[in-house]
Amino acid sequence: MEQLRLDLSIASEWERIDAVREAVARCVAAVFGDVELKHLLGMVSAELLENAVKYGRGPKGVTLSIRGDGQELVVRVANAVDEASPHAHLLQRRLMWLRGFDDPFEAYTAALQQVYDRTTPDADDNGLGLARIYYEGRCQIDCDISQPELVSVSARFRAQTMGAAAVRSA
Amino acid sequence: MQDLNAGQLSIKAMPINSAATPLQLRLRGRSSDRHPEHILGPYFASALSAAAEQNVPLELHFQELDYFNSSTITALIQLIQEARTRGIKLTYVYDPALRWQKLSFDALGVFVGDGLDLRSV
Repeated sequence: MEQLRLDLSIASEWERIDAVREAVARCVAAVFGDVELKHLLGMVSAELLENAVKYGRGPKGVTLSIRGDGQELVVRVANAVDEASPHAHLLQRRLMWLRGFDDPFEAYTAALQQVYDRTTPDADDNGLGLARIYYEGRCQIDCDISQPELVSVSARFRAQTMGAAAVRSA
Repeated sequence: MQDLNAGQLSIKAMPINSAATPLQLRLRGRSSDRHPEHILGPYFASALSAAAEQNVPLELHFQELDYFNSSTITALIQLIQEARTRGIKLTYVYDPALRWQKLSFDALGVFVGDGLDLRSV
């Protein structure tokens, strides 16, 4: 059975993200040979990294790990945050909001509508990336803040919930 | 209307041949900037002005675009708002064979009838 194990530790710089997205996509294509999954995991990695770079602090940078096989894949991104940062709380609140929808499509279109209705555009604060991951990946998103000054967000994909982009059975 | 070249993203403005021809902007490459609205906002504003001056609709073609991030989606929603405010017909054209485009534009269908038309090719 094919397996993907990928660990990256990068500087917390926006300019690195697109290169990581492409690297992830190539690794996924190499292991699973699935074009749709390649795009999907590249997008998920990039959106999680964008949040980490926006809200992360300190010199530790950002870590990305991907683990999985033909049935399940988990993308995890971790970053340091200031103790006083509201980011972790806002993140948890956003995830609770997303889980309040039975259908990820409804969650995402509601998030799009929030952007549309906002009077002051602020692309840094709209949480659209998480909603996009939830909708396009049909995945479970979790946030771990059990370690001090560290936020870890994971997106878990299961083959049976990924539709056309299902992980190939090995 | 001038073309735009911004990093990995380029937008080609197709010439308007007649009053029946929309102003077409063809996006190519990737849009993954942190603040795409800083570049796209003024460019789209110019496009809306050009479309208004010539009294033609505005069309954005995404078929050759490889990727956009969620911040770009925010900029596209802002364009929908602006077009609606200015009374300019706006159409997003995408390739449904590309699953990421189908998913993205299916969801943007929530704004169809509220200033946006969608067309798949």
